[in-house]
Amino acid sequence: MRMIILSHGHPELSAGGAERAAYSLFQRLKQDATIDEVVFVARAEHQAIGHSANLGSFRGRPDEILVAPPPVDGFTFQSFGYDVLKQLVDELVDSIKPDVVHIHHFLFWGVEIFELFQQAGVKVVFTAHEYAAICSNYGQMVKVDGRLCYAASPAECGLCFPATSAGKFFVRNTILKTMFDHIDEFIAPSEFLKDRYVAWGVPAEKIHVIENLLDAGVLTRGQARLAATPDERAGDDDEDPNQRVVFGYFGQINPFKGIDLLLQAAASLPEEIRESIEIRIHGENKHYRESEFGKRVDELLADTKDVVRQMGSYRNEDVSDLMAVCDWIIMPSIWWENSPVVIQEARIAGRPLICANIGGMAEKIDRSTDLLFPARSPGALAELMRKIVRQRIKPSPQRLNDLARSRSSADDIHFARHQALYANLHQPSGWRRATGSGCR
Amino acid sequence: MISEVKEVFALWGIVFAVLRITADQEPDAVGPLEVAQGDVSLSSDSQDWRLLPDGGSDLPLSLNLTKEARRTGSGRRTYTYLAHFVEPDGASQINDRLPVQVTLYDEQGHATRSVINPGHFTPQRLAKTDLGEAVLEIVREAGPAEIASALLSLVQVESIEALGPSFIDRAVAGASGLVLDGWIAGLGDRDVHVVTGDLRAFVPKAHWALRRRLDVHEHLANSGAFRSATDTHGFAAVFPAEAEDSVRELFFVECDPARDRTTFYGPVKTNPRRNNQEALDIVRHSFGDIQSLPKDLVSQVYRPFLAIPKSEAFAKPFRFGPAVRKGEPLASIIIPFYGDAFFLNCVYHLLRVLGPGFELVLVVDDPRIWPEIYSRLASRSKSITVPTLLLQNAENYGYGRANNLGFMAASGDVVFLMNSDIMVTDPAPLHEAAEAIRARQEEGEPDLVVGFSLLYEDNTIQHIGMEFPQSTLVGGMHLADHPMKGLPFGLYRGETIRSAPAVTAALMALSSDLFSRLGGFDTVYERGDFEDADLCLRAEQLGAEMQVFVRPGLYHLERQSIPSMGDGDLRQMVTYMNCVSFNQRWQTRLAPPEPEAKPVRRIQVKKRAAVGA
Repeated sequence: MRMIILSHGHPELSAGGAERAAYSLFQRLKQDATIDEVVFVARAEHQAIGHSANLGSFRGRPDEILVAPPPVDGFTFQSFGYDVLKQLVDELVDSIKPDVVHIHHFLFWGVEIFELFQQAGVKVVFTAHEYAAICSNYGQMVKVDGRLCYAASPAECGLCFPATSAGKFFVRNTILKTMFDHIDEFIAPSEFLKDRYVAWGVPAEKIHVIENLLDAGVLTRGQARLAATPDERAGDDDEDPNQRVVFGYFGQINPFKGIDLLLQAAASLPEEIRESIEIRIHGENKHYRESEFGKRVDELLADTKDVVRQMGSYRNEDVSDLMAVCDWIIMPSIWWENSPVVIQEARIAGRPLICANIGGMAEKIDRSTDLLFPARSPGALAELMRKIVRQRIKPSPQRLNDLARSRSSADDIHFARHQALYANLHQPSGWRRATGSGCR
Repeated sequence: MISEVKEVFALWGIVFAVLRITADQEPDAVGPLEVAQGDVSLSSDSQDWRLLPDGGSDLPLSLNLTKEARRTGSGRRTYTYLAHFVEPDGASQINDRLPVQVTLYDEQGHATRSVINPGHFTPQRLAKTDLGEAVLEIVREAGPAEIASALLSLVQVESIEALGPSFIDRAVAGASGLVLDGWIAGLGDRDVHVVTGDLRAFVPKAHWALRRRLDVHEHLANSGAFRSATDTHGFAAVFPAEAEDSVRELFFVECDPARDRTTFYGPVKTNPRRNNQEALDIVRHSFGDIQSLPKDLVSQVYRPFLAIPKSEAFAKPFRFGPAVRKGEPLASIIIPFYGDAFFLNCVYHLLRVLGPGFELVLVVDDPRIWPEIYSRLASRSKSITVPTLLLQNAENYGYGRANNLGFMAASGDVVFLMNSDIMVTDPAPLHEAAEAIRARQEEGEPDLVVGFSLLYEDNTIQHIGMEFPQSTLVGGMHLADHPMKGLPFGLYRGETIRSAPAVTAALMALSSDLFSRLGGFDTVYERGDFEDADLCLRAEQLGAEMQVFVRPGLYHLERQSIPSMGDGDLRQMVTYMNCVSFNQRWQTRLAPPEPEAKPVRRIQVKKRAAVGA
């Protein structure tokens, strides 16, 4: 079988969860003997290609192609340059001759790519990483006034964007749904995301819930750490009562991830609790430094200097080790999330999680080790942190180790399910297995 | 015999031609004379011609040496005639700014053709020449009543000062007309009208708004310039668009109280400035709110500032997609665009779902959005799988004319009129309608005008047929109403094909033949309002039947194209004006049957029939 993994970015050029998931899948497929050829095709700024063509290769690698498609209408996601996009897709199909294309994100490409690949005779698999088709507010399903959104309808969407009539949202929906009809198999990394798309109108039987694959480097480092003998593992059995409880935050610093909420919670903690904790912020504020959000975060950081350590950005393969020295990993996102890679990484690192009690976060945690707090409530998060310190709550190391082991081998299962899906699509039409929710 | 047409001019709905015939004796078997322009052809028999005494020269009457026809050197005489042509229904079909073809037939039936640029007439010629006298006679006989009655037996021209104190405060040009705001001393008690210097437009005092001008009254009294019992000196008068370039020079026309003399005072120079809003404000201030006016006056004083000028329409065609396949039935979908290019998305969707048997005619009636529409279509030309004709209108011509232009360029035997904010998710009803319309044509049955159930985005009814109830909102006139609007479509339990008095042109299908016989939309209606109701009632007169196909999958995402039309106030005035036009035209058709009288009348008819038999 021949394949294209298509992403809206190359993880080396723009680090986001979806790009990493796509690239991890690509790496895994390269090892697979049943795959004759797999090519990673990533959208890139034309500048990143470095020459005048719309196509190029990443660091000269023949199986990692960068593409600069024409701009896309931000509302309906249709390409402003359909003819050019069609030519690009046709060229990719002619030269790679894929049987299956697995698309991660149509953003920046144009939603017509589903149709174009299908018209070119290629089976289309799509993994949704957020709610872009459903919600015009950055695909977050968060209302513009900040409230969580439970379901979209043209009239309600019109309330979020008063300049855009309900009728225009209807047009947007109709176009996107029509384009989604060109997807042969739809993958949701979480049940929560599946449910949102089912409610929006994608047939339930067409959506398979399959977890994203993790980065090979992260897995290797995590597995190496697990294989080491217990006393070689740093800090696991230290019981120094004076040691501070370390809460780790990993990820981008943007308004949706709730970093300000975490800092607010920290600022509200009483002195004696603050003396017993440390909050490590791993991640960088790249895009919001000059915004109101950026200023608020800076103010909060100044208020919480005594407990917060800004660790800066990190290399992805180090995440497991950086997490392993934290007592808790905190994920305070104020939007639903889908299947956050941080949760998967914390699992491999054998660390317990504190998450907002909504969406993909609530779904992906393990109730025997992890704790939830009411989403968007700094007070509730502060209370939970206070309780952890006061009552010295510490999940069973054994249980965490078991979860880490099972997570480190789970990618085999996730990959096998991807393979099954591809293989099924690749069957001659008369021989296709029935797919559907039963194959989850 | 030598014949020659010297001059052609149009005056108040009458076309005049001055012709000269040189012959040995007065000819008696000449004619007729024909004047033609485009499809319009008017004819005048020689028995209706008037022989002009002095050879039709513009010499003042007093200088005429003889009233006989002049004798030429060869002994032949030259006879000068004035022929006139009254246009049917008083409508000006001949455009006096464009050349006309003049054809004169001689006694053997041989035609002499010439092309002449019409000239114009002046008050001086009217007052001081034989030709003017003959013209006056004809106008008094055949001209519009309000002008005929103002032209008394003696016509003279005086300077404006002779009118007494007067002043034009403002002359403001709007979209398709001009309003004058000024005063004439003692106007309330005087019989004064106004006419443009080329006599093209005559606005009788009955169409003016008069008002008290205490400031003027005080000024006149203090300066001793004029004494009058009335303080009504102020006036506003509206000239229609046709007069726009001639309105720079005006004459006030006063009829003497003894009713024996008409004096043209002038010329008065005006220097109009262009500001539609100011013009509209003057009209509203002087004449009152549109709703308060007598119905006849609504159109006369408001239309010039609510209507888009009806200049000649031009469009450039651009073709996309495959060529039309000859020999196969074809339905043309005409979609005008105005204000918002967003709804091109609906066209993209239509292209995805439509299938064969159609062509699209996209009429961009808005130069502001043309570049966006053109570049968007051009950059996705490979997705255009249906023959598509894109028309670039040179200006904004308005909904009705944009559709009519689209129709002229369309090649289908069935036309669909479709608003840009129609979203077709299921094209089956369109195929079905085209088939039904063709079947009627083939069987020679009454024509069909098909409307459709249209839904809002929340699956409630937007249109399921139109009705014409009387409404207190418009002073008891009939509105084009959409019953059941906003109710869930799922609750509809009626027939799947229902008949209705009219259907909306937001999505309407009919045969090209019928649309052509109807002459398309009547452009008396402005900006997409009542055209469809009017079209349906005219179709009914031609024996057509209106049906609504009640089918899911057709959405009308209304509300979008209206806000950009200008402020809501203007929109309301336009709607009211259209409503007045519609009601005036269809008064009899719309009147509810008198409940008591009806059965009685029926019995009488039967009795008479019995007697007659």
